[in-house]
Amino acid sequence: MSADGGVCWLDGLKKDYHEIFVEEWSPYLGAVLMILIILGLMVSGMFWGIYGGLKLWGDYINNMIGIGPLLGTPQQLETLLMHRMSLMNMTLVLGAFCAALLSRQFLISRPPKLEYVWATLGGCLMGLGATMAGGCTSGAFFTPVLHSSPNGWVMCIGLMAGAVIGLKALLWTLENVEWGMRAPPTLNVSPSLLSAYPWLGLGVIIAVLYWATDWYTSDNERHAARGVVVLAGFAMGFIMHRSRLCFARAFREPFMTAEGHMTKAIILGLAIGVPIASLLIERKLIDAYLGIPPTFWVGSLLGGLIFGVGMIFAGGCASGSLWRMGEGHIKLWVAAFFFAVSASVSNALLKKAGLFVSEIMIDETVSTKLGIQAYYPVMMGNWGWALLAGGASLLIWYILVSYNECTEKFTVL
Amino acid sequence: MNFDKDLDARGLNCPLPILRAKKALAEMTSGQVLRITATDPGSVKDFAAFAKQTGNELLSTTENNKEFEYFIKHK
Repeated sequence: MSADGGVCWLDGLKKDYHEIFVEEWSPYLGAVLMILIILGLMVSGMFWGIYGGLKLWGDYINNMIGIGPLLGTPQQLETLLMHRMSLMNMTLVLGAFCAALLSRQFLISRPPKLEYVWATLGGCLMGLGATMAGGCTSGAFFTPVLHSSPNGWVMCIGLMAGAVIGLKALLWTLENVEWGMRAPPTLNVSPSLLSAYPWLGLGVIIAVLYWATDWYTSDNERHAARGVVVLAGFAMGFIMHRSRLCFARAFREPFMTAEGHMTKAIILGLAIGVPIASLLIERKLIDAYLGIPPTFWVGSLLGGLIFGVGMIFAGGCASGSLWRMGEGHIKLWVAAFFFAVSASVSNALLKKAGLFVSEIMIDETVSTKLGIQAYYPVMMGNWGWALLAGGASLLIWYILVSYNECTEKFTVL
Repeated sequence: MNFDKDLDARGLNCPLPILRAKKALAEMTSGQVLRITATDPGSVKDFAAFAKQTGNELLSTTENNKEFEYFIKHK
């Protein structure tokens, strides 16, 4: 090969690297890739959720600071790496961290003081809201919609209302609060460290691949079953960072700038996902009820509302907080911490209040004071109507978002 | 570049840089320029969309040492 050929090849490599690992991906691409991972999990009999993992972290924290026994938190908890959702959450942060290194966007970012108040409040509200709705935007909105359950759509309405209330509250404080608005100086990253970021990122990829393979081929059955989860979480974090995929944004932006990109990306993901997921459920590769919490409709609606306010304050829902943790935002570390503690505390309190007392119905589904496990194919008698109901909801959402993009009728700024 | 007002949005993530910019612009008059400094990589697309939606002109976007600088001209 001539010298010129060599240089050309290297230039091409740099250009490709930039396009894939530095340039932001379209949210549409992100949503499609995300749905592929979720469908992959479903084929393995699993569903995507984040709340359960965060609650486990909260249980640990509450036991550590001594309020666990008061709340009745079990003292023997599953380990952080063996709990499926906890493991997936951790690898999601790792995936986002790796993507942030490869794009050289990783930065330990310290917010102004007031932001810690928002992170604390937002985290607490999200923990409470997710407990009532039976999960966060992933586990109680996205997954139920995929599983042909109206629970997700009811939470969707709650989330929208919450987003409006949250935005109004933020606007009010912008006018009336002066305290804690000053940003600390941006941390300096030395040029040599910055140029080492991509190599560190590559190191993370190799380490995670080794970990996943080691577990997947392990004789220990529990490890072998979790090799896939390690990879799924890592890929999810990577994709979410690259495309800046954000449910909080999807619910907030139409009411803020009327821009509907992220919302439409989520709609596209669901439009592709719902029919395929239905097929997987129909073929009995996964039990639909696994991903449907007994919260229709009171829990889904009220939980969604509270969660919606919280995610606006925090600047990210559960998955959005996790991937931004990987990018280095201290505010989201604080939000996730309080989300976890609040999830554990709310769970214990609602249990004490008797809201989670469950009854097994005639059709073997579960019902609590917060609602039932609603499932379209059973409610409507067949898959045709169920798919029509899901499809119609997606279409209406799409039309409203597009209409709003032209008219800005729903913005509250 | 000359500017009439300065907004420090460092350490903030969405939606706050946009909300604060909106507020700052509301206190300015036509033709005045607002400078915004931010650290959230997400703010690049946000300010492009914000300018397009509000009709205020995004004069420039630059990145230096992990800080993004935007100049927006009030319509």
